[in-house]
Amino acid sequence: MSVDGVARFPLALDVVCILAAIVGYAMELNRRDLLANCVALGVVTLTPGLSAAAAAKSWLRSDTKPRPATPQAELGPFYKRGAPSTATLRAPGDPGLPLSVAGVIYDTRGNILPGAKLEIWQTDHTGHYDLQGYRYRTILTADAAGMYDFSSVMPGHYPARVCQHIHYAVTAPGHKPVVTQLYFASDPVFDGDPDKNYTKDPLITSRELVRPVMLKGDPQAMLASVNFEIVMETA
Amino acid sequence: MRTTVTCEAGAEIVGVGDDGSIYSWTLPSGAASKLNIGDATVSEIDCAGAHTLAASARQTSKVLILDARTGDIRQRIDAQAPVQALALSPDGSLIAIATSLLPTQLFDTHTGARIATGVTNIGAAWTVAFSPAGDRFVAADEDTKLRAYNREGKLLYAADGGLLEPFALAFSADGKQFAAGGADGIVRIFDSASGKLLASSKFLGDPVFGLVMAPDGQRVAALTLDDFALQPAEMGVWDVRSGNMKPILDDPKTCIGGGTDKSHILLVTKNGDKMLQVSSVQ
Repeated sequence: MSVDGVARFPLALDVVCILAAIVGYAMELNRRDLLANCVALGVVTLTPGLSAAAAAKSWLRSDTKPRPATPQAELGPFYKRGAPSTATLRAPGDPGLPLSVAGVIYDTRGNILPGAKLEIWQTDHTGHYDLQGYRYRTILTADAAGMYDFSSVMPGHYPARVCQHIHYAVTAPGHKPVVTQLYFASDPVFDGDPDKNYTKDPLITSRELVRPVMLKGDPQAMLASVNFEIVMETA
Repeated sequence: MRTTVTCEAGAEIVGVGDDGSIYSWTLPSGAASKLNIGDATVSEIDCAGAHTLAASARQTSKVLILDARTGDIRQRIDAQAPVQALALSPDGSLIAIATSLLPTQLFDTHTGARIATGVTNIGAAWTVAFSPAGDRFVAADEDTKLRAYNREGKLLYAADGGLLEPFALAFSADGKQFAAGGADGIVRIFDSASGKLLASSKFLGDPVFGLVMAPDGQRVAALTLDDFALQPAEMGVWDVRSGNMKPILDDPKTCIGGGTDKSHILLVTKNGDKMLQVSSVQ
């Protein structure tokens, strides 16, 4: 039931904890405080000998899951040092299919890595790298939740490479650098079957690097969206 | 033929045929021979004098150390990542290997043991070159640095190769200088003892993918590739003193390699389907 836009629930205490858990997940609040509140409210009961701190630690541990490190790939010939920091690679009026890429940086234990540095570069929609300037090149920093995102265009094909791709070089203190490439399951080269055809490009080192593409919007203003998480090994 | 190197101060040309076999020609007679190394399909090669060859296949991590006369395999080396380029020390005892995923590695060719692995900030190396005296080698690294190492694989210095990646290296005959060129289309000459930049060419119009430095260090032949198709765009010689760049081949697509004799730059070009031509650049 809703009155004046405010939802009211009969089981208020449970809802407080559920909402707090949701907010806590989104904002990375202190799980120990959250659990302590739930214990105080009586919606969580701890067995004798299990402290709230130990339970919170165990809860955090169970929330994270080990992840395999992102496969490495060639850096490629047209890396350029010193790119500007911008999340908007696609300038107004740029031709090509608008593309939005986002992801989270993790370590192999499943912990997020805030502050990881991502160097990202790609061709324009016709397959040309900008060697004179820094078009379609950026350096991003993962935010407090380990997230990054940028807007661009779907990169083009060029004769020396089989598939459309975006280059990544990711560094974080205490972790091995990840040099890799993002590919698109929608690439015509894969004939709609990247599982079978990803090896058409000999430089694709793993099927994992070929990511699903979600198309949004109407036919006149379509946007491609891709999620690409990066997992880094401890150095 | 896809690629060639000159050995024994230009007295011999060694190359990889379209069939992936190794061929050699003795100059000036042009007498040719095919090296029998079994089923190996070769991509990258280098030679040390007339006695030792190193060969690898594209997109494999395996490197063979061969007797240059018989083709007998003396050693097999696993570089742990696809090989991009290799450089033998002039005495044939060491080999520096650039791969597509790892920093440059230095191996003992007699034992096959890895002596050292280089460093990069990110990425691997495009190519590698040994100095004529064999006391050091330089790696053209993908993080845009040019790193020099000694025979033990100890880093001597890291020189600035520009904002874009360097692709090609060449030493002068006395080993005092080396040239580097890459994606920014500029050839730079460095003091090989210190890594200090000595001279830079003007922008050549396209990325530089091949270099040969004249024995006196005063001229550098550069092959550029267009950055889209990666096809040969121009072959020119840069005169370091005057700064002038002069085209030297009407059709740069015919150039398949280069090197030096005791005093000149040598170019190896295809002349028809089955003929090679070796020219000295005056």
